[in-house]
Amino acid sequence: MPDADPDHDTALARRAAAGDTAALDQVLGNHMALVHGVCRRVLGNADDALDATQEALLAIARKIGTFDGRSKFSTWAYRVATNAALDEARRRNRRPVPTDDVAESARAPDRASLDTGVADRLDVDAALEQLPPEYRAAVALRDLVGMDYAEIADVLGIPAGTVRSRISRGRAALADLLGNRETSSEHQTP
Amino acid sequence: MNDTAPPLEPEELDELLSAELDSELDAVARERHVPTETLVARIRATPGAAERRAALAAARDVLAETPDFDDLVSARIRAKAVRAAEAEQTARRKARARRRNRVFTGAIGIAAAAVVAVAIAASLSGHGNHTVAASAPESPRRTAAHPAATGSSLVVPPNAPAPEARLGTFTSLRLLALAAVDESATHKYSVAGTSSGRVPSALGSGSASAALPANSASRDQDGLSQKTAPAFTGNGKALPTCSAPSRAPTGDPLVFTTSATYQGQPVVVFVFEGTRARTVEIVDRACRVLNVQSIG
Repeated sequence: MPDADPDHDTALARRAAAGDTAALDQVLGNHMALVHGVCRRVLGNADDALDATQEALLAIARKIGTFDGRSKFSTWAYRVATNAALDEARRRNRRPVPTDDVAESARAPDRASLDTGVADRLDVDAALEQLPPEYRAAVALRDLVGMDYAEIADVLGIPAGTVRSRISRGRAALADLLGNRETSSEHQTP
Repeated sequence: MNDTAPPLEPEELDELLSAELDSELDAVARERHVPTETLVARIRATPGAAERRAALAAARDVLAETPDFDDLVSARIRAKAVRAAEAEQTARRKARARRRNRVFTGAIGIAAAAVVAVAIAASLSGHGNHTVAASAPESPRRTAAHPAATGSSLVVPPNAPAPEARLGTFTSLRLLALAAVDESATHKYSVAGTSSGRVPSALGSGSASAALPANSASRDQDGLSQKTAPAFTGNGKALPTCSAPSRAPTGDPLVFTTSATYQGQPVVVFVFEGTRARTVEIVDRACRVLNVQSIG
């Protein structure tokens, strides 16, 4: 969840819009990790997430003059980040996938050789990969950023009921995967 | 508590449990027009609901973990974004400056065009049928504004004649008188038609640049006969207004009044119409008669 004070963010954004680069650097720093997190959750891939994060940050920096302060800065910034990530996802879908990558992704990861953190990350990416990017965006905005359903509905331009359904689907997919892993671990345990 | 509530389908259970984890169950109940307790009862009536809630909560906790982000990469991207914003601001400033310059240049152009138009209009109205000379050494160029234009920001170009010097600039009283007679033939009016017989405009407010043809100097045959004009009254200011005599010394009625510049000095010219000839009386800025001529 964002730690930054919304009023402080708004003040920084206004200073940044007036040309204060230090304020811009600060307000970007306040939200950068979560902007990257949203991109990572939506795209499920580190390289694509970096590209999308860069696009999102550039868009925020360039458009900060259009931030009117009517909504929270975080809502505005994560809207920009989500759009950047969804755009990247659409671009990626149009790109041809190299056959080596297909073969690589078809191979199940050797979980025994991975530490728990990496395995969890892979689980999250793998679980969310079953869902369309728009579903992943709803999950990321709720569980990572901490937006309420109404804010998410506003950012994604969908009804709150749809937000609820998408979040539920995302969590359920991960819950199923985590449940299966726990089940298989239990089976492996003597 | 409703113990007979039907169990939920797996997808619906997930949705209600997920909403419950986010404290959104009341919103779901409002949306479905049922009490929240009804939804809770249905969740409880569904086998395995508690385990599923725990699994969804675990998934939520995993999803809430912020993905790793390398500090160096983060700093690099941030710096790039700040540079992009600076470049954007610079471009905007330049665009604004270009727009300002365009507006300023346009305004200057319009102002210049307006000055030229005013100069042309003034030139046309001041010269009448006379030839416009490029320069007249004997007529001092001034940029004094017409009294009616007082307060205007327009600057009269050096070669623009004052509207009052209607006949132009003359070095010959004879030619001045002839020009006045010519002019009176087209603009003749009765004394009663003038503004109480007073000279319609002030003297000395400018000089004309109109000149007569080059051979006009050889036609100067008149000697000046100066005498005081008893009917004239100066108003004591720099720009006097002289009352016009209603009749010439010969008794002819006044039919035309105009102004001109004679040897660099503003003069008023009166034309009186007789049965056989016209009498022209020329007075200076002090309302003194400079010359009286009879032109047949």
